[in-house]
Amino acid sequence: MIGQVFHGFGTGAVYAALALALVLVHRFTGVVNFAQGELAMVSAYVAWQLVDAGLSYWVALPLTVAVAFGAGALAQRLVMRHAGDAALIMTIGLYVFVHALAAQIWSSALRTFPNPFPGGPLGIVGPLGVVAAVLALLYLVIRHSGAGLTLRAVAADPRAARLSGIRVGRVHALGWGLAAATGAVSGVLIAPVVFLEPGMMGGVLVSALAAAAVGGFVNPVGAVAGGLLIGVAETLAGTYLWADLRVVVPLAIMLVVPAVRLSAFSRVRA
Amino acid sequence: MSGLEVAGLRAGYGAARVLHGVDLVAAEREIVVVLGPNGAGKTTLLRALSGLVAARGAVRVGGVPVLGLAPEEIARRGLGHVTEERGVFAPLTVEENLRAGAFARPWPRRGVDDDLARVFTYFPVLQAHLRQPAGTLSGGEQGMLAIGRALMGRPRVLLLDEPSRGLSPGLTARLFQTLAAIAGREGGTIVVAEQNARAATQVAHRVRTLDAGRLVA
Repeated sequence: MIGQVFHGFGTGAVYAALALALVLVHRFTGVVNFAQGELAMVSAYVAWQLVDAGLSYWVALPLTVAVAFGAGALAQRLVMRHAGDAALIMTIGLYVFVHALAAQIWSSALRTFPNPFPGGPLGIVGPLGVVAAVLALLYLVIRHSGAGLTLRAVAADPRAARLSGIRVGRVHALGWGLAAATGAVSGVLIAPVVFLEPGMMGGVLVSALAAAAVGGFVNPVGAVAGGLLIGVAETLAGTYLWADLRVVVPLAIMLVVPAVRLSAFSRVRA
Repeated sequence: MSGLEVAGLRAGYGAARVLHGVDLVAAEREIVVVLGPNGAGKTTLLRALSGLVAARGAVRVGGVPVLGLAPEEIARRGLGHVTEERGVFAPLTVEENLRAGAFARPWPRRGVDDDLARVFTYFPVLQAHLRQPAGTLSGGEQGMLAIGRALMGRPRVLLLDEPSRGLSPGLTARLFQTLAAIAGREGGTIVVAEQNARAATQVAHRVRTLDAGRLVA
């Protein structure tokens, strides 16, 4: 049982990273990015190519994160900034496009991805440590840097930000870049567990959406907690109830969490 | 040298024309008050100058043409605009709001801390609430914060949309005295749109009246 819980934490860390990415885009540009998982999938391929070319995993990871940052910022500049009111639909379009592009470049064949945390306790603690580091880094950037200040100002009042000379378009690109970089971590963490293939992030995205919903799509800590919760709940449900139940867990969490919030709220009111 | 030059400014919302050719010149260290009833076009005039509303004609800030640029680019060319809603960043602290205002100034952004200290000499109450979220300030304090934030961009021209709104007569008089001090010491141009004629005109170097989209006096 304890072992299963820890295993759940490992998976949950992956959900948490992608959920964080979803929260970043939603909080700073106001849209739920359905293509977030596919950007992470492409990042995993990039990491695989780098490792395949002979780089060490720990060199490939930061390089991949940097590439993902650029790709995310580019997606915002080239596509999303022209989307206007259709932004949500556009992210679905981006999903389809990126998915097809990856299948074209790397084919749909299953590939194995090197695991930097082979088995044992490190298999659990490793991913958790990476996600904790990402969360800490994001906190520093968003709370204590000039770039973070522009992000929060734009999120609070885009018009006032413009009148303060903040280039809102670039700030949105920065938000997308940060999100894609964060999502890349989830892609690289899950790739050794599942096989590397264009559809690898489908299930992760559903769980990450539910995890982000726990934080109301704005709270990063809630998203991480939600990711870990879902990771553990899925593992326990799959082990002790029946295997197919795992896929229902994110949906159940999405249904339960708003209800819990609502009841807490009505208690405060009463 | 003049801070703000406006010639033949026409603007509106869709088919509804609000401004019908406004000419306005304001020198440095000058406070120009634009008076007018509700609906005269005062807010639209300021919005057209800062790029929030599309307009035709000519606008120069410190001699540099700005009409047609995006609001953030106009801000970076030295035009500060405190809107009637104030628009403080509510979840951000007072200090963060002020520091965000510094993005309007040109690179390299030196002297931000010195400018913070200067803003506190004009509005000491802001220093007392430095770490507080701006949304928890009173309406009058939010107005001061919005002006302070605009000053952090070191504007050549500062536009203020009804700064007296929601203030008691006493506070209004004090605010306008502060504005007079700012115009004198910072050397910029201040354009104030007001309904409250008495308080505003006491510190104004010039008073213009806007009526139905035209400056009539």
